[in-house]
Amino acid sequence: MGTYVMLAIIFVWWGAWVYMTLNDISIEKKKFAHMEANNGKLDPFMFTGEKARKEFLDYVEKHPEVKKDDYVKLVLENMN
Amino acid sequence: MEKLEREYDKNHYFVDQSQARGSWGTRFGFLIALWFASVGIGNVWRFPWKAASMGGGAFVVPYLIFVIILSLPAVMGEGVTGKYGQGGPVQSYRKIGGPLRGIGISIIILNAFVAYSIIVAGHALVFCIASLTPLMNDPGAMWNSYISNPTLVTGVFILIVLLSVIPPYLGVNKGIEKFAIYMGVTCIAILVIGAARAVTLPGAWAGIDYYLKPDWSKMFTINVLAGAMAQAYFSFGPGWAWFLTLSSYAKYNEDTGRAQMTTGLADTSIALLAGFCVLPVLFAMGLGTDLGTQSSFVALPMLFGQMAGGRIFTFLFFLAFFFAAYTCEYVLVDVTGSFFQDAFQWPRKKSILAAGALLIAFGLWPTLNETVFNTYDTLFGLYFLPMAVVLQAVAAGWIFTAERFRKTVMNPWGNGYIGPIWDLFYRWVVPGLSLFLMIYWAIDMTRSGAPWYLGVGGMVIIAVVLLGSMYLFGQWDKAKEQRVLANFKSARR
Repeated sequence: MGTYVMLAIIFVWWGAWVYMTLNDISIEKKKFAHMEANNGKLDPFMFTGEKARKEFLDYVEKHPEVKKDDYVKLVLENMN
Repeated sequence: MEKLEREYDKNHYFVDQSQARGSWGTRFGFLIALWFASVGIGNVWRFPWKAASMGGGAFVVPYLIFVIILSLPAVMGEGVTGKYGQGGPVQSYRKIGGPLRGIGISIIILNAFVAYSIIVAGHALVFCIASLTPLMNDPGAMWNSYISNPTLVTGVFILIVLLSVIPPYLGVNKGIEKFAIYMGVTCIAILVIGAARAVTLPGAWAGIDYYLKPDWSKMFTINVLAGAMAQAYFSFGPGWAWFLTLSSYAKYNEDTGRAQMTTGLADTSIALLAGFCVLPVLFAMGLGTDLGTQSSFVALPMLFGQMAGGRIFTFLFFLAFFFAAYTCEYVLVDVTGSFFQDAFQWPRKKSILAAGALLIAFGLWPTLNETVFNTYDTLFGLYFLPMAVVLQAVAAGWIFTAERFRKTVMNPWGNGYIGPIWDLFYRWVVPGLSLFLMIYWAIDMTRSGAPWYLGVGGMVIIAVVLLGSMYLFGQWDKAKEQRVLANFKSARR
């Protein structure tokens, strides 16, 4: 019985690997297509959602010194 | 003037280096390069035996849990540090490390001292070629005559270092990525074919049962938990800055958080798959567990030699072994080469050649001397590595802060939301468990009667070396940067 349970766990694990990989590649393809259609611009939170956007904006508001950071500048420039 | 300005900015803020340093051509190429930096010989041979001897499922379950709570958060931290740093460990920690800015050099020292691990790929290549010749009729004799010939072993070591220089020398896209795709896909295919053949042999179920049947009474013993933690630690590979350097070739709008998650799944999936290649064959051939204590280089030909078409399977398995090891070795060269690029601004090709020479210099002695090999393995594997992981977690998780990384770098352009649980694991669980493992090993070594320099004494020596190198390099690097800044200011005037 225990061996069958472990086999089931392993099959779920393998399934998760294949699913996450395919999902990840398809998202990157969508990002690329979106950038092609929008002159290289891409909303940074298109695939991480509004919660991530809100967290980012709250963080920048609370820590204004990070606005000097070029990565943060890039995110702000690309936001809709 | 522009060059000086760029030099200064590069050390302090995010500056996209994808044009100058090269970047990934395809997402799959990036993923598979990450996967096969983590997959090594530990997945293919050590894992199945460890699992089987430590309670089967009772080992596999905590192993998977430790991958999720310890190795994965650490590797995700490395990935985001590299993406932000746009350089190797020296450049990335210079940018985010604050007082720990010199930690990059300690990581380079770690990589240089473990150059001896390159010989494993050499053994695999020699046995792969030998499996096509009558030499493999007696694998034990073949192993003894090979390993006792220092000229041959030295030659093989140098050959593998030279071969490992090729992919990073060719560049990220044309070298590392292409090699990872061809070798990685072949390795997975071999393991799938091997597993399919093994589990369909008559009597294979006994091996599967031995491999996976959980002995829950063992699960909560310190031996099994520490063993599962160590396996999760060494097989995934946080601390070497390999994931940091590979992620530094990601463009600013490319995800690194989810990429590391697929790496965690790939590393464990391949380890689990390898178990299905080896253990069912052992039981189907009536060999039981007798081969578990032997070197894989002797055991595997003996094992597959019993099967119909055994020579082909031996060849394929050693080929998979070689690919698994080789795909790690060229990343080792790339990370070491990043030191010359980041510290002295050498061009990539010159840096990679210098890294090859450095690794030959560092790796020859332990390759030829088993005592030195084992001493290095203990000092750098058991003490230096966990200390490096702790310092990386402090630099990225506490000084730069995990919250800032997650909210301003990891989630923007990510392929899925990463929640605050990562902050918690990266700041507390990763350094906490790493310290626990290091102290547990030091006490265990001392108690087992090992020489003083391998036990607690060794841990103290390593702490001095690591912290000292970090401090001295940090000071030198800072002084150099001050000079750049002074030149920049005077040029502007």
